[in-house]
Amino acid sequence: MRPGFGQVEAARRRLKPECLPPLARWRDTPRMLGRVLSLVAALLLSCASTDAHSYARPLQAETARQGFAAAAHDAHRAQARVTTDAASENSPAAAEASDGRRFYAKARYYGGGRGGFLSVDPWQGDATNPLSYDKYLYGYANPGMYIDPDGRLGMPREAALAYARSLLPPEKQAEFDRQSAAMLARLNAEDSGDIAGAVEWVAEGAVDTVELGRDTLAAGVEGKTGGLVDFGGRRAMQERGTALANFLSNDPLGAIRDRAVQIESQADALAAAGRHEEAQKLRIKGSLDIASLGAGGYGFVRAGISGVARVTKPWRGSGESSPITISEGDNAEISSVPTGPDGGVGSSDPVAADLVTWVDEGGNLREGGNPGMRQDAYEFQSRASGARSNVVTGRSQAPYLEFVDESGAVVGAKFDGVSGSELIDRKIDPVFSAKAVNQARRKSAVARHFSLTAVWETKTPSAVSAADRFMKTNEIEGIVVRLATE
Amino acid sequence: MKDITPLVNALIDALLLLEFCGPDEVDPDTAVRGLESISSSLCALSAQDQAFLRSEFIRIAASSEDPRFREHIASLPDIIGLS
Repeated sequence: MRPGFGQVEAARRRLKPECLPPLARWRDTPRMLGRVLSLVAALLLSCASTDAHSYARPLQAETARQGFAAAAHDAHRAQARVTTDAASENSPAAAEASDGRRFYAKARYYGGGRGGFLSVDPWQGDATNPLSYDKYLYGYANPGMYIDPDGRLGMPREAALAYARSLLPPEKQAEFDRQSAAMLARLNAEDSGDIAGAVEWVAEGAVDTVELGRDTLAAGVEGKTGGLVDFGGRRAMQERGTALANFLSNDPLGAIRDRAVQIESQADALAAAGRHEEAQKLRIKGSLDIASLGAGGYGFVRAGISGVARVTKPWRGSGESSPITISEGDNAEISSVPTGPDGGVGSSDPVAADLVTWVDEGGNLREGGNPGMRQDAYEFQSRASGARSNVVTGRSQAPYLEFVDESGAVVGAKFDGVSGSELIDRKIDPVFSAKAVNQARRKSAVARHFSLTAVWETKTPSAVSAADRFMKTNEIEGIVVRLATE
Repeated sequence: MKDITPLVNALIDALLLLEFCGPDEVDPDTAVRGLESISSSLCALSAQDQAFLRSEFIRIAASSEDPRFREHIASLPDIIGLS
């Protein structure tokens, strides 16, 4: 029988550190041991409750405001139904499969067919902005005003730009102003409430996007950035270049127009039947959906072209708050960007996200679920680039790759995230056991087989040193060790 | 608490289980993550406490009659990265 969360909590309570009286000579260790054992108990209970690949990585804890989020989500789903006329689109996974278009947006994927993100927002939400409780909306359903640079937090375009500007050296701010003003002028085009206005706005933007994208792919990113600082670093720029190429290849204009025609046709039919109020509602909802359809592309296209929009989000997943920051380690002057054989930026490297299979992991913080993982460890690993979760099952997901070696054995490995050609694992502290060595060798072999790069990201410099020692001691090659930047 | 031996024994039990369980019992990647989590918590101890814990592992290992058990317990401090 599957143990419930209450049983896990009971196990934890039995091992509650406060139950252990302090030992004068050795005061901290019993408490730490108690904590470790309580985690082990939770881990084992979690494992027993799920399948073979069970390891608990909880999603957001449900809050008292869940009802609102659910209602908002339902409304959004209803909106998707109206505009796609396909019941199967209620499932994000189905929407992705049936539509075939999804856009990489750092922490999550944006689904073109759905008109929203395909997995839950890792950020819990903000009481001052109820729409932030919807787990799937892009830019609070107002992509004309908000951008979502990394799939985690919508923010006003102007605020993001102002903050980014403040980080630039004075001699670069004028050029920044010129480019950002041009960008905003283009994006601030009238966003009327009726369907025609929305289509025009989106379509014009898409045309700009396509043209700008072609220019970028032809000339390389260097020419377009004009000396601006790329807040995502060169690697992020490569990713966005690849994403841009993917976006362009998906014929966004065609999809937008098809959707608009469909909505308008349905609205006309309703109006002809005298159902004017319903027709008007459909047009309003449709305009929102179409604008959102374009927004997934705009998010990274805009970031890729202007190089201004990668701002890390305030992380409040566990109730803690931190200010918006940009990692100085990510700031880099763009001098050149590798160009692939077909002219696409960065396209000469395999893209890990295109190769991996996403598998569910254990653990689920929805009703009846249990954590099985320390909160800080969960948050650290969930911040790995490209980390995602399954909105259908409510579980975290891991990118998985496998191949058959010369002996006929299947060699497989799971990671925490993907970014460009990297398969990323986040390690708080490496252990030097045989099982850990086996795991590292599997990961290295899998990465090498697919011409990808395995990466260990650690939390502290001392962990980096330990990881380097681990690789050297065990003669493991092909895994890059570095300090995590966020 | 006057005797922490049972507590250290319980810790050893958990470490042994995670390291030696089969893939059909606990997913290997999950087991490694569990080991790493324990290591992380223990390495947060002060250097003095880590040294004390190391000595406890060695003491318990030395008291074991099974040489395989003794050898592995003695290696645990290095496996989990105690100073």
